[in-house]
Amino acid sequence: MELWVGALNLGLLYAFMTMGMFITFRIHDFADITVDGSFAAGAAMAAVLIVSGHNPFVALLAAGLLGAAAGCATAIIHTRFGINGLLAGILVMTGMYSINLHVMGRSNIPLLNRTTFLTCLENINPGLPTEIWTCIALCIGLLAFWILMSLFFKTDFGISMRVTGNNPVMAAATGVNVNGMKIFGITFANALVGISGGLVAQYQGFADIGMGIGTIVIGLAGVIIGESILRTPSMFVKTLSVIVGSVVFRMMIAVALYVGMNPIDLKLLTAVFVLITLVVSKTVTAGESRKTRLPRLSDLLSSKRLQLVAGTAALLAMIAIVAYKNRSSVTELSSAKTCKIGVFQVSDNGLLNVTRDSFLEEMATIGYKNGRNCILLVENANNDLPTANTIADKFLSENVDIVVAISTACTQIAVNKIKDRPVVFATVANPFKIEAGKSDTDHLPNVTGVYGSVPMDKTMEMVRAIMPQPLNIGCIYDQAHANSVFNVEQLKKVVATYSDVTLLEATITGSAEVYEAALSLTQKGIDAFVLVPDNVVYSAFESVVKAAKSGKIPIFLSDVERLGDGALAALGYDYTQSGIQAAHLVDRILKGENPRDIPFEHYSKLTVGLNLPVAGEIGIEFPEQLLSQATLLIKAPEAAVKRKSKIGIVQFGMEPTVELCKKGILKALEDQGYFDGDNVELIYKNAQADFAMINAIIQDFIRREVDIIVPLSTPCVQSAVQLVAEREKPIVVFTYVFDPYRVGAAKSATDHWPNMTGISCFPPIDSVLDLIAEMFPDRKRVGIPWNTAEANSEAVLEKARDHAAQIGLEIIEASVTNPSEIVDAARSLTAKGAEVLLNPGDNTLDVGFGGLVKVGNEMKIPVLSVSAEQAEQGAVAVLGPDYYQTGYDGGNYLAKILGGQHSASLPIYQTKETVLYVNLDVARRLNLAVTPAVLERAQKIIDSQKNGTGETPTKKEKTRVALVYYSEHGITMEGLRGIRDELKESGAMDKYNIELDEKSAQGDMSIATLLANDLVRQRYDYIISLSTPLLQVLAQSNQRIPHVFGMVTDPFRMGVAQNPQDHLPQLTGVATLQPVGSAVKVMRELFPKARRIGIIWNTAEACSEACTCKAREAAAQYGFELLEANVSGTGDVLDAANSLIARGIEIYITSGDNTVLLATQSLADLMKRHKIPFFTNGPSDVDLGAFIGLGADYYQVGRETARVALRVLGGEHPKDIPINACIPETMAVNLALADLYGIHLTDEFLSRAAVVKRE
Amino acid sequence: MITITDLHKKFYPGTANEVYALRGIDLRVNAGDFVTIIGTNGSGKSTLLNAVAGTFLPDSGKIEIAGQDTTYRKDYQRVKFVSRVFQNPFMGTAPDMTIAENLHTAWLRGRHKKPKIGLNGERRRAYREAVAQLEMQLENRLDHLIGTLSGGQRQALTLLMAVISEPKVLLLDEHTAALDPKSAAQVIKLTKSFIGRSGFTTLMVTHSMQQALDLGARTIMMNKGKIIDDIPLAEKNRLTVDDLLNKFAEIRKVERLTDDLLQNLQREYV
Repeated sequence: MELWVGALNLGLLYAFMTMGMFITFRIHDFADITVDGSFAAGAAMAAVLIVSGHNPFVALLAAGLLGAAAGCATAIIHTRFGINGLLAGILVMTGMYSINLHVMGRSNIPLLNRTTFLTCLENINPGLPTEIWTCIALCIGLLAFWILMSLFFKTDFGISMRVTGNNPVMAAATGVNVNGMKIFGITFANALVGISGGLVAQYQGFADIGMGIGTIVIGLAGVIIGESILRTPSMFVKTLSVIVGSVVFRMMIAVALYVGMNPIDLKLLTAVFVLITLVVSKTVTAGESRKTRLPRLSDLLSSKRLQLVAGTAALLAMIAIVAYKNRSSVTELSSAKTCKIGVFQVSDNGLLNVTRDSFLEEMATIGYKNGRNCILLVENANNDLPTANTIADKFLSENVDIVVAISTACTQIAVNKIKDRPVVFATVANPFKIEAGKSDTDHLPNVTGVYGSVPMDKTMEMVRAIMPQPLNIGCIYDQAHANSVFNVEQLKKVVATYSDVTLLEATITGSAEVYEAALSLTQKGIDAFVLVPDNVVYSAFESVVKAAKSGKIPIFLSDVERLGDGALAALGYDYTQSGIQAAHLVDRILKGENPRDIPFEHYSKLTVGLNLPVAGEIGIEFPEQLLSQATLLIKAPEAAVKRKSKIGIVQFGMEPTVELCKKGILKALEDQGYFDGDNVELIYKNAQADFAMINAIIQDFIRREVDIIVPLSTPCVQSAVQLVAEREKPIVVFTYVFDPYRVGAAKSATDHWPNMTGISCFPPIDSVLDLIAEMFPDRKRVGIPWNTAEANSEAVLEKARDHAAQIGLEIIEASVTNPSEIVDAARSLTAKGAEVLLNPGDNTLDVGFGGLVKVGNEMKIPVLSVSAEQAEQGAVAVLGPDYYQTGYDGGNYLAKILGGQHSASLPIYQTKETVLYVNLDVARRLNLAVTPAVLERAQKIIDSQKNGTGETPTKKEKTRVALVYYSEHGITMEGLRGIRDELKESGAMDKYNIELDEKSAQGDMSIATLLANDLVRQRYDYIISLSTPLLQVLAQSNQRIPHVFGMVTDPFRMGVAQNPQDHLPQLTGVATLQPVGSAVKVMRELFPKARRIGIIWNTAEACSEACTCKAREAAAQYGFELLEANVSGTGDVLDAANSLIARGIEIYITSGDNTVLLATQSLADLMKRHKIPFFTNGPSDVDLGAFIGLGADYYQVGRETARVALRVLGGEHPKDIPINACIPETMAVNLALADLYGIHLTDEFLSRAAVVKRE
Repeated sequence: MITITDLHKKFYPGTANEVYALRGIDLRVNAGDFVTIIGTNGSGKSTLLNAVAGTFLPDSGKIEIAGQDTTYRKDYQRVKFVSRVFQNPFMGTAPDMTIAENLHTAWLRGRHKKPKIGLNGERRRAYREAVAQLEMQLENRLDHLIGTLSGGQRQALTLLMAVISEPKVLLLDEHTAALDPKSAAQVIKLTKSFIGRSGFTTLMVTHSMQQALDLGARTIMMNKGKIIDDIPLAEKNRLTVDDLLNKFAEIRKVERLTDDLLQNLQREYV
């Protein structure tokens, strides 16, 4: 009952304000934002006067005058200076904030025990309950107000005012001073608003600086709602509609709270309700005939009117349904012993939440179980004071036995409203200031609680203990918060007792200002921040940390929770203790003690927190005594468990020379004892010749906290310099780069970024030119095409020009911007008389080297290069850096760093070794002789007539085998290991001189396609592939290279083969069918009662389809129902999982789908949270959180694949080898999870498992 | 009643948009005169009316109304003497107020607007009678909002509102231009009857030559900010629309003879 009466009262009190809005908005057509300021002004003025003893009605008059002044200011700014009305309102409203603060002197004035208009009313109360009497009195008052206002608008003056708003031109034409009338109207309206503010302040028992916020919305809502309900144009009805609208609005909020709506949603509901009202009323107006008499029944039945009625009815029905739903959960009272406790807090603030949570927990611990022997109503006012009021009303109407108020504002409201039942407060700094009592024992009879303000003396003791020298300390706080002001005063008092400490203050009004305030204090030269408890400052704590960081200024806090965010030390109360103490108070009261006899309690537990890492950074040492006192110590993160160092290697493209370099790196690491997978983890990434990719890859390395990044080739080094140069981590060791100096990695070999070092392999351009001079003494003109955008080439050309001049050669240059221009550029060079063509190691030239060769062949001009592999591509000779060696040198540096040396101490090293390759075939074709002197020096001679001419190659022919896989998932890695081991142990690596190139498609189909094409282009001798997607793309792009696949679930379904014997001729391999049947059998064994299994798969993957089909069969066989969800990308997986969970799956099984595979970790976490056993086909997934991994032994599959490959290498044709379908099974079990699902695994069962994970 | 002496007005002086609207107007209108004003576009007819009404203040010259020097008085200060009817039928009435309230506002023109209820039974009866004169059956709809009426009805009411306060000067600024022929005719009829009955001093601007001839006792022709002809009643009665048009044509011919042209001719032939 109180709820509705309270709402009605508030509605009537706000009606004055709504009338003011009506005047400005409807009559003057002026959206007046001033009201936010004038409402608070009225409240402020009334409160101040009442507190100093004046008559409450005089106070109201003064409130009206102050409001009028505000309105007048707005009106004058608008009419005299011609400033837009909205803007004028905003300006005044903003200014009013300061003025109101000055008027009040503080941010909050309580009006308990003062003579307010309510007390005057009470004096003439004939004996009715207070609220009802107030209601009646207000109704009478508003009735008078209504009549007066209506009559006013009917006077000549009133009519003139209305004309002014309706048609200012006409008004002027009838002699009305339009500007003057407007000023009067707005002033008068704001006077009404001020009076309303004064009334509301007295009603709710306090005036608060923030009371005005949102007034304009409330006002407009009231006007609009009122208009939509009462539509007759008569002036009496119009004014009545304003009052009605105000009341309806307040009622609507009460309904929402009653129904249990979260106060957070109130504002949204306001907007929606007003919108509905507007829309419905518009449809009615559109069709309404021009009658103005009262509606008859026939009108009601007309369709348009019906709409309005129907709309309202629908809304009420919705509310009723929600109410009904909520009621059933609330009215579970059965026994009379159940007590109701109402708990509310003013905002969603960390400290308040901690108190609330610990309170609730303690209540549960004491024995109060919500729903059984007590009902707990927990509310949050979300920073809206009127809402807090309404919540208190709600508690009253719900007949709670005791109210628990958390935070000062709520305590104020509770203390004011609730006189007839106990109130327990918590997390209040000073209950005396809000007039809950005079001392701990002398307090309001129904109120008790826990309070405490941070003992500033102890805080200062701590500060001095750490910093005993003379200090300037800085403090930031929000002046508008009574708590903060109080705390700062305490701090000032304490500081005054220290003669060598000065306090500097900075005030703020909002969290956005905190950073600047902090900066201003640092600039004033403070030595430390001492922050008092202040919600606003704490919410923007990071800003203070940021401002303090550069000056290494320590921060002292009272909120121990935030110690870890960058403060040095914190001294505060344990707010959990506060909640616990409050719970015990409630318990005592419920057991019968009278709150009057319970003195206020103080917080008992003080916590002292120290942050060691921060201390280390600033260079402060905590005194021993303090350390021993500390209740919370934040330590440096412990030396990490010996983890593998991560090395991220990124290359630009796929040139064979890079592969050589990588081999060198690997060998160097192995020689020093570092093996991939054992004590280092190597991550290989390829930027696919895409500059943007490089950035992305390096960012990813950083994100994955890679320890060392190894960029290969100039573009990658450039990127690394940009992204990583100034940091401490990660370290960068580059190699395979001509000129690191030019890209900013260093100024000289010793003067480099401390975290970057590496190996440079500048092309031996001098030696190349010497070679040219030696091989072709008559050819003096050397043509060099190059891409001027490449920094590395620029460096080479510089050197080339210098050296050429020295030895008497002439360099002719042509620039290209992309590979397709090479042919034309080369031709232009020959036209200019070039006799030799040279590739200076330019990346663009490397890609389009064929073009250079083409022109060389046409014009019978020799082509030389510095890039080793180009000897086989048509260069007659190549003299370049030994890429293998440069890799090896890089690997050595890596080993040194892994061993503990710091990169800053390693100078950049230039690889000295070079390699010389000569291609005799080309020489012959061009009719060029090559001197034996040169041939002797060559590391490699390409000669198809090798046996005939007696020149034997110094190195054997290599067999190039490409080993490609789709993603770096666990099972793939297992398979890879199997392949590598088999190849090594069988001796095939040496026997066939295998050069194994491993490439990953990184889980991306487009990269897989690129890879497949590239393999064909690079003319590998053999291809071994793992996983279905790669088989798919390779089957399409490769028809000639013998291809052995492995780890493909169902090659038959993909169109690659009909049966093991009948398959595409160029490929063969090993198919691993997932042992789904066995998995389902185990499920039935372990969970006899389960019914529903969930599975997620990507319909585009053939292997998943096969697997799912099998799953369906197995499910049917063992009496399960299989629920499926489809995804098209990894991003959809979690949503699909959630939908399956919602559909009630009890077990989850993986489909072996590559798309889903990438989300295994997240899926495992999700399933764990919902206690759904997660079955996979990868035994290694057990480490990620799967319950049982039942799959093929992928290691063995890998070895089998390698065995098939060896048969092909040995000479058998793939078409003669049938596809091998093997399913060696292996099971891994995560024992630790068995408890989670509530089952016990027998030893017999566990013995079947190959791997049992116990923790 | 109205004496205008050497009135000048330039709008936006010194800028690219400068308009020299009134170039020395001298006019004497006696009490009870009904004067129609015609002229080409931009001749300054409406500006002249605005000057009399006080919408702006002139650059130089003098305006006297009813013997008082009103040159520098603001519009709402002249309101006691001057009533206007605008061309736009929606400009003259307040759409969200009733007919009665609108009429009352007009009646309050020049009177003190006290905070007491002036719209009592007696006034309502008076308004009822007045509205009945219009013969539009509006007298039963006094409490309807004016916004619900058509343009012609509103203009008629505006006219009524203009005369109800018994002004010294009535300014009609092309008040039928925006109406359909039937409504326009109706309003002209009312105009004639109101003014004929009460003898207000009236200045009426019109584009319609016919109206100019039919109504009023005197017609003034304006061109380029000057009064170029002042036709008394006697002569008016003899004129037809064609005659008036010819007069305008003459002026245009003269206009073609610009100063530049004159100078050229002078040089050539002199």
